[in-house]
Amino acid sequence: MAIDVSEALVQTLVQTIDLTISYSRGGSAPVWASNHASLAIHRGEVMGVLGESGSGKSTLASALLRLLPAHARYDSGSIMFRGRNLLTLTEPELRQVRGKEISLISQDLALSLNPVIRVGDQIAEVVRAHVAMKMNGSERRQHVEELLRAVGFDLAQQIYSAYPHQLSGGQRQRVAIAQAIACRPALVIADEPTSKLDAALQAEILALLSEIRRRDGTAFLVISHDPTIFPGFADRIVVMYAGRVVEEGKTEDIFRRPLHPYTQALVRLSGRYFVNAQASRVRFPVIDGEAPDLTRIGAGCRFEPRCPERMQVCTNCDPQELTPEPFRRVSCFKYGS
Amino acid sequence: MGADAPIAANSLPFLRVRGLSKHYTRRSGVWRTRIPIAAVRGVDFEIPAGKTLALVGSSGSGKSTVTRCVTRLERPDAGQIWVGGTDISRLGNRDLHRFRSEIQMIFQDAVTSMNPRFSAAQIIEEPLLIQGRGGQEERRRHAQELMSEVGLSPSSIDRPVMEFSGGQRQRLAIARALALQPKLLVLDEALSGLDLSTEAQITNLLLDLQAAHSLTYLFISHDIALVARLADAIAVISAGQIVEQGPTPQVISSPNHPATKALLASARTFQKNYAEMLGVSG
Repeated sequence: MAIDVSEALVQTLVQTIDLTISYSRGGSAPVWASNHASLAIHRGEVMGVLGESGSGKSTLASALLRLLPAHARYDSGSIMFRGRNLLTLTEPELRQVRGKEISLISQDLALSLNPVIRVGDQIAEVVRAHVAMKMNGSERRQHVEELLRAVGFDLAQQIYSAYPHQLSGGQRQRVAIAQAIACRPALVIADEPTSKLDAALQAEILALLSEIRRRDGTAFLVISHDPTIFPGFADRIVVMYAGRVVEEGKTEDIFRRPLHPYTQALVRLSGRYFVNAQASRVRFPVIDGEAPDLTRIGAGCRFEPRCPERMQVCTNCDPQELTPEPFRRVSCFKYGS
Repeated sequence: MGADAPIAANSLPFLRVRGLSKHYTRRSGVWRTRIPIAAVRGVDFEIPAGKTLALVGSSGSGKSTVTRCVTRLERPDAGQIWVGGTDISRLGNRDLHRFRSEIQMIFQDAVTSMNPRFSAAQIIEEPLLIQGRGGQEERRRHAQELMSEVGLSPSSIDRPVMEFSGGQRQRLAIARALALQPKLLVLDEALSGLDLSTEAQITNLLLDLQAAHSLTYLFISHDIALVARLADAIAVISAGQIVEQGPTPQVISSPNHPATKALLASARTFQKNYAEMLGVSG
């Protein structure tokens, strides 16, 4: 038993256990954004979190860095990182983790890059904050230019002196990646890193993240509403729906044999990304309805109102998590209870 | 509304664009002199009534400039834009007012294209107010009908926009665009950024509405895999010029221009990765 635990510690980088987070403001009903969410990210792996609006995926991402707004409450659970529970750390202790050991590529680059500071100086600031003693100004500049080259800029000196508005969307995304890997963190959380980019840029950015992972052994937690970015990129996928993890598995298994009816629908829908000259003006297969209101969660399965395979039990009981096969979990009564 | 009577025969294009050019200026150098930058040059295309043309291109190809000229948010430098039997490219604001109801636009971001404090009723009724259509009760009834047509509950007509989800707001945007019974809808990346399940619902809605009202669509997108499923014809724009256009099956199966081939190649990334993933593992 003791040996099992220590082996798990070697492999597992971050683990959330039963994490429940709610938002409540001024006496209004709490929004249950994350409900008993458990997931483990291994060293050097790319883990995909797949979920649509309101699934709680961004809440989870921010929670891992303790960056949630003040009206968010950590109701239960823990976030274990290198033997420490991040939920119990003080703000100065957290500052040693953020950016240095776990960093974030935020969804909204317009907000995360300062418009009036040269992008090189913004990256240098991260370096200065965490490894200041070891470098003087010119060393730091050199280090930043190397980082810019590492994310694919040939003219690193020019990019260093550019302001964010002088760069294209794809270039800004590369700058954000350079900033995120500046201190060689063990984990990078990327929230929708490709959602605003066209297909060509999207492929470039994903290739860059894969390269960083190979080169530096960095683990990535990549959050997206788009399942199609994961094949050939993520090792495993966690599917979230309405604040719950509903399925987890290896990427190929998720696509080959999705178990949860919601995952099955998403995989079917992702077929629309196949270029097909014959499919013109054919209606899309849809999941009827909308994701539930997270202030009013009933006793049953959250997907039940939209589920094509709903059974009697689904209305009254919330399905427990099952492990129908190794490296796989699913919450659905189809696979037992 | 006599002069711009709807075109009877389907063979006639509803929208015909000829030689459309537009340039912007940028200040540069020590003296901040203005230098012209061509945004689009010599753009020609047409859409038969009731059909869909997709204008596809990568970021910065000039798609949005074409949109802004066709909807006359901008005045083109040269060229003609024929809507029905009238060239609207040179019309002044007063004459345009009449055409505004024929051409409506749906933007990418329904969230920022609406005042969040407005109610659904205010959003949908605003174009009716501007065009002076109907009395108060008539407008409200019309708004309720539009809401059920786009799949929203008419009972939520007095709820503020901020209480609607992203998908519901895109439905509201469609209801607003339909309020004046337009003939042409210009959809500028109207599906990008939506969740997959919402995207599918909105796509089906657009197909249904087109069939029900014989709407003509100009669909602007960077996503060639998506437009291949929606459009009768595709025009590919690259560096401000249309480099290839034709019926959808033809453009998809035998592309000629390198820009088209590049768009198709990146669109096929998922297909390729998917096949490789399943091939290698079993």
